[in-house]
Amino acid sequence: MSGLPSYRASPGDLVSASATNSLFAGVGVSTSALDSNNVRAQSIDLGQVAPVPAANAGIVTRYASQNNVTASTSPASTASRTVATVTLGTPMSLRPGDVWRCYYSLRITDQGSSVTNLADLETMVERPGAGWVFWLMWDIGGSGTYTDIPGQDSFSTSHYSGVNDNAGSAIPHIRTSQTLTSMVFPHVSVTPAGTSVNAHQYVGTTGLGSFINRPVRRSRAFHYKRTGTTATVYGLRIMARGVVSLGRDPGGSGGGLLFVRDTAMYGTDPTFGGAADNITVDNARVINLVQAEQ
Amino acid sequence: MSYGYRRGDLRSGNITGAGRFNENLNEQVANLQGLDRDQLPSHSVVESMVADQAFHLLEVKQTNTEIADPYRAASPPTGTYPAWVCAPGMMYPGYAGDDVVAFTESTSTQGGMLQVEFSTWVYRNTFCDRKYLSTVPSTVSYPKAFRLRLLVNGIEVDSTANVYVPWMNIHLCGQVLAPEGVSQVQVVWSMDPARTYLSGAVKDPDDLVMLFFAGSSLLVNQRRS
Repeated sequence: MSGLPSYRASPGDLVSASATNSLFAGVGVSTSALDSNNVRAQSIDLGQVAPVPAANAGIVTRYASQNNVTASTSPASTASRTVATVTLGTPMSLRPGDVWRCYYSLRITDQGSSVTNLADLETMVERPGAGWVFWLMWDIGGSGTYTDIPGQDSFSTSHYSGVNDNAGSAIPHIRTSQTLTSMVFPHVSVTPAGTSVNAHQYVGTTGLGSFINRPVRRSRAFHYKRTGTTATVYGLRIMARGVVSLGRDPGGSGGGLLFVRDTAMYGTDPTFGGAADNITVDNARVINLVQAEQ
Repeated sequence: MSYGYRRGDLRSGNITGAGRFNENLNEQVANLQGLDRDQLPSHSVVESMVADQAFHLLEVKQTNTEIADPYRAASPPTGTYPAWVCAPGMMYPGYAGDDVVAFTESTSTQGGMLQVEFSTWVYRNTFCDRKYLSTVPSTVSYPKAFRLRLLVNGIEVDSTANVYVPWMNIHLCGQVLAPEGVSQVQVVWSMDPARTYLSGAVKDPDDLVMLFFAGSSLLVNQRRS
């Protein structure tokens, strides 16, 4: 403490009891109100900071969790599939101002493809992309109902109008402006191989196979600052869908979109896309960290 | 507070000896002047007492304008394909392989450590990867690469080096000492430029989107204590 008023009575001075008592009163008020406003942050040590009364209630780090799902699954194309569901042991509270830092990863061990000849594989390489997309959904009601996380779409035919396949049917798509949690993985790729054909499936032994015959782990991180109201997250779900390509909003907004190759999208398509396309995934991991801006 | 300050209560006419009065008063004032964190009981500081941003600052920025004009082709020509084919990303005309700033974030810092994290997913066109032209010499190196760099005040704190995987998730993270003042965090992208082969009659196509990334989030975490 510093800056307290001083008072010094001198012999012969007329001492005013009221003035002195005012000093006492002022000191009493200031010291009884001693709290964070009187103590600079730099002068507080960990000893003075309240301990975490229970898991996940710190002043800065509000929540931390890690969940692993080891089971293997092989989601196929033509629908959005659940890769892993994580039920949080302690629900994760996101208050306004809290920042959620999420890190999730999974291991890809194989891919199947409806492409059965190299010529079509080469054509696939020449198209505007072919891959899988993974994303997260959350259960914020505790009812087991999973919904979209802000900033992340699920596949729908209604985000943009006019995204139709070669037969005129609407194509499910995600707006790339809503891919906060999305993780992508290539379905096909190319390697340096002299003058020979060098297109291949990126990973796997199924179908045409790939020279990359060992599992590959992919990870994604994202950051989300909660606004508005408090949300309590009870569970997270890793979703998958493919084979997808990349396009843009036909309405002219300049926005992009990921779309699904469930059907032939244009007349020159090779015969790929469909139920034969799948990806095998295991050992998913979800790490959550929530921090308050204190 | 458990500090044992007891408020005095003087009555008019009680003070008859100034020396004794000053002695007692100065003792009390000295005690109060010596108040420091030792008088703050253990475990007494709870979250409601901690001022916002006292321990650290957290800024989160999400964006989907990673590739801006003049490198963002909002309406790339698509030839025989439907109008929505090809993402609104970078095409080769006007791009020569140089570093391009995706976005800049400035934040006021007050010392301590600055931790920055950047996460995104990237699409790179594989069209140029394949030896689709018979005139391309076999010595040409494939595939093409892209790079992302994370800078703080112009100093690189993390980078991807060359990435050849066409669909890739990127996570860059770095920590630096935060200066007093304004710190500038930047994300910079680059990609191998268009190539011209042999006599110059054959080149990489300039009507296809070559690079696009989205779903980006940037976290700036300033640890102050």
